Amino acid sequence: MKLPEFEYFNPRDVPSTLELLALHGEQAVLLGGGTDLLVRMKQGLLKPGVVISLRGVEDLRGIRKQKDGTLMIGALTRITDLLESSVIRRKYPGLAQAAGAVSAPPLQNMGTVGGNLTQETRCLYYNQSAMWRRSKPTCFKAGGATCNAVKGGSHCFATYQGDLAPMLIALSARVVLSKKGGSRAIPLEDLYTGKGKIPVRKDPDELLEGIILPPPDKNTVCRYEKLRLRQALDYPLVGVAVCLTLSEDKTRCVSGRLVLTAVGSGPVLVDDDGLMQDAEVSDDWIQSLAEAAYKAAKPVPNVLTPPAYRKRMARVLTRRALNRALKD
Amino acid sequence: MNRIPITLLVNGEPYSLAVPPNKTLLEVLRDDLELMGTREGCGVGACGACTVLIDGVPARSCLTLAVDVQGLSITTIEGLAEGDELHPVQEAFVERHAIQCGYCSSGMILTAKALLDKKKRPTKDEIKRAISGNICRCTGYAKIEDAIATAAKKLATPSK
Repeated sequence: MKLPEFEYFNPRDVPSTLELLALHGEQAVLLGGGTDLLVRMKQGLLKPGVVISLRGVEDLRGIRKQKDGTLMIGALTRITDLLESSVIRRKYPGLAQAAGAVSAPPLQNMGTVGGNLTQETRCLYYNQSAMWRRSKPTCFKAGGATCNAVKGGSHCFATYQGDLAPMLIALSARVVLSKKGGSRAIPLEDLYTGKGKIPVRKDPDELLEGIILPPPDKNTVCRYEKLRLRQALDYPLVGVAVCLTLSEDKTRCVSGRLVLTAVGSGPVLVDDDGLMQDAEVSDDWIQSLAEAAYKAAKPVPNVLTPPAYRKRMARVLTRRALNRALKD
Repeated sequence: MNRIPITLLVNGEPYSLAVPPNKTLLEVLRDDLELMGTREGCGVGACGACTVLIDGVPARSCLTLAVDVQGLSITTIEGLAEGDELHPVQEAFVERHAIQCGYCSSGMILTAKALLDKKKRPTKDEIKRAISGNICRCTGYAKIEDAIATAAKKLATPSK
């Protein structure tokens, strides 16, 4: 499969990357590991005029502890780097676990944190070769006016299937977005629009520089559970990330976050209706959170397994994630 | 489209060539360097047939721009044997009948080599995890896992 033609730049540092983005903005794409972008380009889903390869931008790599106790993860840090980092493994084991669930080792060697977070939404009727797609009307995502997955659908329902975003949102991570002349840090959940057609809210001249994790807390436990048909390579059909900050005696949940993936057009931060604020840990409590996840999951028939099954599995995996997190 | 001059270090040999930026490492290896051991399967990173080692790490050559790996060390299946003598991993694949149609073998063998370079005595689970990104539609994987375990033993015994 051939890649379309494009103009290529390989900046060496962040300032020159921002300069290139300011110059080429709308028609430029950023290339990290290539495992999402180059596939879409090969399938003819994207024909950018300019490709800015970040491979040589060393400042974007690496995991650094900052003075205020937070942890900065550069956008170009590979999934494998997360898995091999002793800080991540010891202080943020939930993130190491979610990273280990991404695709398979050779792709973890290529894929980057920034690329994983900004990956496109996917659909069984969209992520196909050009020839395959010609057999159906052009869908919303491809610039048409119909949805091939949801009959009569008025917009694009493409599914967000990232594994890292749910865990990082559960960890209350912030994302650093930079452009020429300035930088901003926003809660990671605000990076996502929840819309299938354009899932990531970022200016065309902005660069995702990295992720900031709050200081680790010894009373916080996290867990990621993922449903997929094969135990490698597959995107999640449902994913559940949970982080709980427990009381010293572990009988109460002081605060927490429950985030779903692959059951909507963005990661879904479950509205737990205060259930995770200073609550007693019990089987009933776990069941209530599982019900909240069930309600929040809104899968549609655009990935391999039927939506009703995935919705039920959101409940099952939430229960499993909570039980396993509490056991750690 | 303009061509960009690059130098690739493939199996220890430097190659200087000018390539268009949209050419993948896979295409350069096969079309320009005529190293046909690296194969295109799916072309979208899902199968692992095109696996090569980039600085010793298994990666998909179908999703790597050749211009992006300028100066890095690339190992393809052609780089493993020394003359007529097969690499112990290759030997083990032959001995344990881990090759049927052979299409996945280059990628499997390179992935196995990278694992054994890092880990002398991998467990069964570590072997399974290492090759979990490489698809074989013939063997059912048992023979391949067996071959990698055999190769680990071969490599552990000091050679003559």
